[in-house]
Amino acid sequence: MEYTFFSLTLINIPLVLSEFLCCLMLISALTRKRPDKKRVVPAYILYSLLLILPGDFFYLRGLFDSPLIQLVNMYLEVAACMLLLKAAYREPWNDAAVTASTAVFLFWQINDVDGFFLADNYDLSVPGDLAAYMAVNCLLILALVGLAAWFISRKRLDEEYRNFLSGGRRFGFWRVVFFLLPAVRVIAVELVNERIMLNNSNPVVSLFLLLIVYGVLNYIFRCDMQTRRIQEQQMHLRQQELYIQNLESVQRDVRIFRHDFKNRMAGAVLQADEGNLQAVQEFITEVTGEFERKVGEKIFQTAQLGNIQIAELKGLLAVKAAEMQRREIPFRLEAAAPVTQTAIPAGELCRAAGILLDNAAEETEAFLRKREADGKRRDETFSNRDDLGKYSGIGVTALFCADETGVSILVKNPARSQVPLSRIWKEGYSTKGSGRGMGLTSYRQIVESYEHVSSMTYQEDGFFVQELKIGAKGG
Amino acid sequence: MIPIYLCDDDPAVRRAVRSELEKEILISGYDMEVVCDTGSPRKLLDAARENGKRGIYFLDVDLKDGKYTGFTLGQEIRREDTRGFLVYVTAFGELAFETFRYKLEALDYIVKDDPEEMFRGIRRCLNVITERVQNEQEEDRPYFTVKFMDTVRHIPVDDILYFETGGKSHRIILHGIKGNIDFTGSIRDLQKSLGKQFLRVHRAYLANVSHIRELDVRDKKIVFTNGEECFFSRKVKNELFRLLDLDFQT
Repeated sequence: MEYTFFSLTLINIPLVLSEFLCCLMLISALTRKRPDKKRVVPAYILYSLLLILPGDFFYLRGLFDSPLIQLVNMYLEVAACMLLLKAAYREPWNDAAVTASTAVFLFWQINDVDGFFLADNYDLSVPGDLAAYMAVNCLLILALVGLAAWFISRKRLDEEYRNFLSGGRRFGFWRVVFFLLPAVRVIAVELVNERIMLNNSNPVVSLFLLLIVYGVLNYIFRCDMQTRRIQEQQMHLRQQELYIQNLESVQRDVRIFRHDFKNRMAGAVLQADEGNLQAVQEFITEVTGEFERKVGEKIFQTAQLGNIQIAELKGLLAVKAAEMQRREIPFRLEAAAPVTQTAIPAGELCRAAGILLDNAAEETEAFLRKREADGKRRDETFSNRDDLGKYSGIGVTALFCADETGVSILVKNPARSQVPLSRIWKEGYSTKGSGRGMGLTSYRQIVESYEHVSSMTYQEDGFFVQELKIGAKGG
Repeated sequence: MIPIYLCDDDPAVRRAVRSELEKEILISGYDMEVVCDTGSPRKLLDAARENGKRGIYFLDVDLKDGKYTGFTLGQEIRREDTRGFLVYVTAFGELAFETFRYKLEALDYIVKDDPEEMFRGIRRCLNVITERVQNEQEEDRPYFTVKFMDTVRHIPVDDILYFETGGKSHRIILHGIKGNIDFTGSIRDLQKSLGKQFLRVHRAYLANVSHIRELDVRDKKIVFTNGEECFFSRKVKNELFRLLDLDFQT
């Protein structure tokens, strides 16, 4: 049977479709993301063109013997996969390159397993061999890759992989290694190739490579994960300490107040004896007012923090509150109902809340500095109710509202001037000077990557408000 | 006439608030009346339902009622009277008021432990409410209603610059003069419901024609009155020119 460009293309269509589906499975397993369904089909068309046309050409010219051509073909597949990642998964190019290389590498390693059961190369000019080849490469491979994808999520390798991707520069070297894996495969097969069978694959080499890669990377990632876990634990300890310090200071204040209160109570009793009702009334107003000022605010804040029942978030807020206290930025936290969980991972939640709080703190600090320069006192803040609607004061306000529909977070700060809304989402834009302002961009990325998360940004009565809503799962 | 409702467990506080309200209404000649003062949330709700008008509600935060707290009573009132004014009366200076304002659109809170301070608070509230009602009467503009997760927001149509399709499917980003908001919807439906003031200038954008400041024909960009930009497609270029010319003439 002679192959023509047309017949080869016909054969390649199901093969490429199966490879495409395999890549989808592997990518989804590794990144734990779902592709945008509308974009999968156009991505598939592009993918097939990139694979089939050069593949046909190489095959007809008998070029697949050459390792160089194999290498070229391999990286064409990587490029096609990158396009898929970019279009349907919206991964940045850098991550797309790494994930595409990994997926292609894994696909070929798994694909080679059938070599263990073969005595000879398929002779694609014999119809029987062709049928067997098609069955193995279209159907069996799907099952095997499905198994591999299951293994990845079962062993939580995807978690490690995502950590690796989000690790950025720390893993620069390993990113290059991942990108080179397909090349390593071609070269390794070529080096040991006995040219007896399967001239461009070798199941033993493939399996060996797969095991080495799995072992080495597992070790490295696990080590890294452990270091990070220790750091996280230390941070938690520090956060707990802050929380305890806060409670202790409330206790101290209450003790002092009690001492003072008892002395003054004795005076009030004397005045009551004399029938001086007005003095007693004044005493009551004064004492309650004083209590509110000295202890009430602290108790209130501690109770609010107590309502945040996601450990990571509570820690983050305790740290941010302490930091703002140090920088003399008034901070008010409200969490009227317990916040126990959100539909996004705690890490992402903390990142988003941290970005909003940091921005609000910086802006407020600048605002206060400007105000001070204008001759106003710093302590005219939360207690100052100059006008209705504005008495939430000059400081950072953070609100966490949890109910059955989900959790809303609102962060509010006074704005020095109109913030140019159209520009804050542009990468690198910041009112704080060039080279900064990545915060809001990564915030935007978090919002964009979850279906049930919405955000809102607006300015109102001289305040800049950021609202984040995280819907309950399935809601 | 705007009805005023009071709900507080303590009859003494109710008496004090009521007499101050009545005094203030008389002195300032406000078009308001205290129609209900009660310790029972249920009675208040019944009275409000019966009256059916937009009201002013002075509510105790810590109600000693089995079913209602100040907050849940506020929620119930909001269901009936979406545009009413909620004012909370509290014994503590500390109240998660931002949460009340955010969730219930509460207007203000007043602290009852110092009578003078409380009366000042009442006067301030009535004053602000009167101003707001007057302002609202003067402005009669169409609003665009958007559902932001579980809450509903009303945005004046004139304050909208353009809509953009978001990264996620069915996600629309509204770009307004005062801010941005994400919501779920379809740009085609928006185009239908908003009418001629909005033009589909690009596959991903629906622009408010009256906010277009200029066209950057070379880069195919629309510049809005506040400097924001979006793209337009070649197809609508002529239509845009025509509309803008018309706009400039009128």
